[in-house]
Amino acid sequence: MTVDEALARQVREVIESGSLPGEDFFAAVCLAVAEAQGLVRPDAPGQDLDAIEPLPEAAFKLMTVAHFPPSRAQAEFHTSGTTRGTPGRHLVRDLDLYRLSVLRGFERFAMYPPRPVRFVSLIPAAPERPHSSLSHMITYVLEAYAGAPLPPARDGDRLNTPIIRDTLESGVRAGEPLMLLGTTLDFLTFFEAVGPWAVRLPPGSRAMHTGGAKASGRAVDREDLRAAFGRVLGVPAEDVIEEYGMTELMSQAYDAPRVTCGPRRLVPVPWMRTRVLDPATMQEVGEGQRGLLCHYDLANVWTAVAVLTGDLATRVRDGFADVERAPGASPRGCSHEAAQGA
Amino acid sequence: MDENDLLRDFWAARQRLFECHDWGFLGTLQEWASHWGDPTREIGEEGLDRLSASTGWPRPHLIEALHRAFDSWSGLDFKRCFLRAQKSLEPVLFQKRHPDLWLLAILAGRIPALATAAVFRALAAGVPVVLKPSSAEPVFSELLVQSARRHGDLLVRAIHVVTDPDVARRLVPLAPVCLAYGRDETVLSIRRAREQTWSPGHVAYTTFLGGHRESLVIVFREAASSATGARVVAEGIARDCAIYDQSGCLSPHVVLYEEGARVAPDDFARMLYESLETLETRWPPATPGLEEAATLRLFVEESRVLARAAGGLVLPPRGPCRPAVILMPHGTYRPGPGHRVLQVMTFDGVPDFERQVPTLAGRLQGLAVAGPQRRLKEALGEASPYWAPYVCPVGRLQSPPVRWLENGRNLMRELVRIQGGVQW
Repeated sequence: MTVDEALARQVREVIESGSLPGEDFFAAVCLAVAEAQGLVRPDAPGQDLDAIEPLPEAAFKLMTVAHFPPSRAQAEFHTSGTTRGTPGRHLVRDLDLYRLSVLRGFERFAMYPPRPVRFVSLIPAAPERPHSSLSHMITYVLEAYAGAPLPPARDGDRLNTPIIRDTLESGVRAGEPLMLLGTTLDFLTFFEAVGPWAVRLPPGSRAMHTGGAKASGRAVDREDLRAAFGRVLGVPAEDVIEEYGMTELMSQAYDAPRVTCGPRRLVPVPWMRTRVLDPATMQEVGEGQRGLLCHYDLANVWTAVAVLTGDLATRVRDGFADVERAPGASPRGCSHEAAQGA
Repeated sequence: MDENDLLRDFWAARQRLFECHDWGFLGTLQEWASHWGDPTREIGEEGLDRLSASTGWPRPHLIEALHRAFDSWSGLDFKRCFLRAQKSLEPVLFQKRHPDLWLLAILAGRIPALATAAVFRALAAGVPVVLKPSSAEPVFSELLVQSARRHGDLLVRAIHVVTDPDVARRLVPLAPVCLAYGRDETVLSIRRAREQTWSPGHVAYTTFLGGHRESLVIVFREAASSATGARVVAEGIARDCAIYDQSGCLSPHVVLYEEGARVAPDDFARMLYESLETLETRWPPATPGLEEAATLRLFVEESRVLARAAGGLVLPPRGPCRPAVILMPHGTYRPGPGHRVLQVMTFDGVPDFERQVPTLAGRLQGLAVAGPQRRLKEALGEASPYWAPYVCPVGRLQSPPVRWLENGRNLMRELVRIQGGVQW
């Protein structure tokens, strides 16, 4: 069996439905994709996710991962981490599928009412960074949700702090909820650059940060970061959303407390399962324990449906928290490519 | 205790050692080492349990590690050793023109042999020693001092242990001789600290630095001309790999295996794996922590992907990630995760060191060879950066003789020379 359009169509239908598929249904579709990709263990005893051999994320650095002729790729996303050898490469067969996955996930986790109408993005758009999966994601989001054209928040690699401040102040005057989008490092840089300046954004405003600050070598205390959003922008901690994504994945996970109640954690979109695995046994760890993240992303139908990452995290309910890179795996992160200074 | 108290206390020890250092004292050293032949008697069940918890090694592995740490000293003929080192040393050995000489040994990791080598080499040369154990494994140094106490006042006063990193840092520029192990950044910062404080008349004589180093095995086809011969080679390599769980500079992580031997590379890889599996019971491994286990898992899973793509082989092919043997024909060595993961690269005729093991240039501590020595000389030439201070047959990497040139230098010989005022 090989990956074909029929299988991709089935995956698209799952994503379009937007509802949470049952475990058995998810496992069945995931196994069908994995089998087509040659990722099912020949000696697998059962028909669940344990039967799938995940591909380590480094495979995207070491070889071409594609179940289609590479010449038919519509885009080529590159990983940002380059401290250890060559960057990874994700060939994207179907950008529409990526757009669908991005927008359905963003709608679910970030567009809760009252829906923001003004957007401020600190992330370069796709035409500026054609190999950035994050830039594509943000471009899709802005095309779908942002009304007016955005003022340039960046000046090359640097944040354009005065323009960002002006945009935020005009948003305050308009009294309409804003959505801020940026990498974690971008926001840290912005907060440092503005000094004592502060505004109170209209109620319903929110911010979505992504990428941590892994590549910058800076330690990020999320509590401190959320406090800074409150202090500088008047955005409460509940409206500070964190997005987790990887170049190697077509889908994301979100920490959006207005949507996922309970302890703060990153929860994957419905068409992706994330398991926290004990690296010694590759069995799922118990609640509150740490292990390696393994994602089962149906939207990766053309590449690798199961990806074993170099990220260590704590299992929390239906998601995970406290993500950090395993030593020896290359430090990386979207923050590394987006923010160079303010 | 700050460094001033320590040095004041130490002064008396130096004076006594100065007075009592003779062949009789060397006999005491030897006797002390021989008592460690039975570690349970020497440090008791509780001591062994503490050390096992601190090193992470289960009892049988730990006892083997202790055996290797003391064995060469208990059986050593000091007199012969010194006389062989330099005939003129005997008259100067006990002359002690520098009673203020002492050694600061900054240790790293959990291998007991590092501490014993520093202590025995220094004391044999009549030089007292301050040990700064690794923060990850401070118990062995403590037990060593307790043990010394049972073997005479002189011994215990000649060894001090400093666990406070700040005190150790302040001792670095004060120590006449400093021996430092650790990461490259650590040893470089120690070198800088000593260079910056040096001035004419300063007593600092020398600094021995041990940064990142590894060991390599080369198997020429003559050594694998029969299944029996190849299995003996595999067992020797596995022993060198398994002891200390590949955490030492004499631990091999990579084997260069010549093609064209009667035993094919994949059969040899299977022999290696079987030998490693056997040693899981004899010398049970430490359990890696979460981060180490993650690094290990990722490395082995990546290797499995690479092997599938490049016609290689990983044993076991799935499931557990250690012990493991990764065979990559004509492959390039990737710095390994330790915990008994061996990479086997094949070569044809002469290894292409620069391509196959580029990260080991100038970084080799040990080189174990199976096959004719002349083949090694032909393969390396004279000025290769792939020569190691210690060249030995397979299976002997982790049992270097006392006189081996660790990092290219002989601490004991240099201490004796300084002690005797020999200019060099």
